Amino acid sequence: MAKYNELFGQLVQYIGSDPSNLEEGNVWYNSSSNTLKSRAYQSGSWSSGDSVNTGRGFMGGASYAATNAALGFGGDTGPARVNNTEEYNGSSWSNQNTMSTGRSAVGSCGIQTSALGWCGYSGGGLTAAEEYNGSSWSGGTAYPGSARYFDGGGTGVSANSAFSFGAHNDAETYEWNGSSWSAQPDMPSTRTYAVGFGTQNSTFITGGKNAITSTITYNGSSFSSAPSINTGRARHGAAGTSTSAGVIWGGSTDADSDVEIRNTEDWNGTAWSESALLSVKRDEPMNGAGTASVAMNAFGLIRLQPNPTGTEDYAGPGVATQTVSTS
Amino acid sequence: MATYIQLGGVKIPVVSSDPANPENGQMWYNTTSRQLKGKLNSGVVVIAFT
Repeated sequence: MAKYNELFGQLVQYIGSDPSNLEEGNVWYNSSSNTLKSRAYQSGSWSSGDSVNTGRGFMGGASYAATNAALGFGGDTGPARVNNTEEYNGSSWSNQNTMSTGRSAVGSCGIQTSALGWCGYSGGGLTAAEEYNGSSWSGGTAYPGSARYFDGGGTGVSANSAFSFGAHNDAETYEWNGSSWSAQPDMPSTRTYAVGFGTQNSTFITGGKNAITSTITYNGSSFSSAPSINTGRARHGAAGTSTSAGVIWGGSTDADSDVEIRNTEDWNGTAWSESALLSVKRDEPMNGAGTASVAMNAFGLIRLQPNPTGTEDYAGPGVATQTVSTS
Repeated sequence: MATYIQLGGVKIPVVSSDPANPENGQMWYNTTSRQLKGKLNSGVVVIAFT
């Protein structure tokens, strides 16, 4: 009897384990798993994450943290502004030593072992700053401007390198270098509760109150216009380690009342594109941890469910080994 | 671990646009839409992944 490929064409590679030097578009048959596989483009997607201990909104987070070493602190549980601190180790959230002052809407940045929180709201505005070293909080140098509130308005790689922007009703910005705050140029316009990602010298700022769609970048000394996001929003989540790649999600499209959204948008350094929806509408999430490719959305308020503890994890778009489905 | 194609088999064509007149059973990867596609019966289909 003639073989299949002698009569009808040629076989794809038949192999006992996935090959090592794969490129986008490759197809092969894995004889161990008996599956047809391909190295192909995969859209971004959200999946359920691990639950936090205290659900809340308007909280601070370590904006430069990895997703398996995240940090969240402060926030608003509805009746109270809290000082709770939680660390994530890749599998579970655990309570840590608390901040000295319970506060929501705190400016924040850093990593799990070196984070900074500044300003915020605790029945009144605050200027005080606090530093976290991975085990405890200590008093920092107060923010030099007026008392401000933020939601995602901070970037920086550690407690010694912060960029502050997106204050409520003010365009001012400041840098913190570990020993002093210094005033920087105002943003071209006020962006209340704008959210950004990146570092002190490479920050991408998106949106703002009243469904602002425009975006700007900051290079450590000045601002430049950047491509607009598709859905104007404020109080959203964001992740990314520089202006060259990032992701934003959720937030609210309205001014003060809550019009939460599920939309996610990816930034590839050139353009914004729509990605997967969050499983639920989330407003006021903490500063996202991770990168454009692997990000985390912890602690987002959900409409009619004000203090959820469930989180969501994001896998960004990219080329991956996938199995052809059969039905 | 063996490398791709080291042990035999053929590469699926990687093209920037769908072929003009594909035949049933023909497969290719479209780099513009970034989709694995094939001709099935009378139409071109996007091959799904689990």
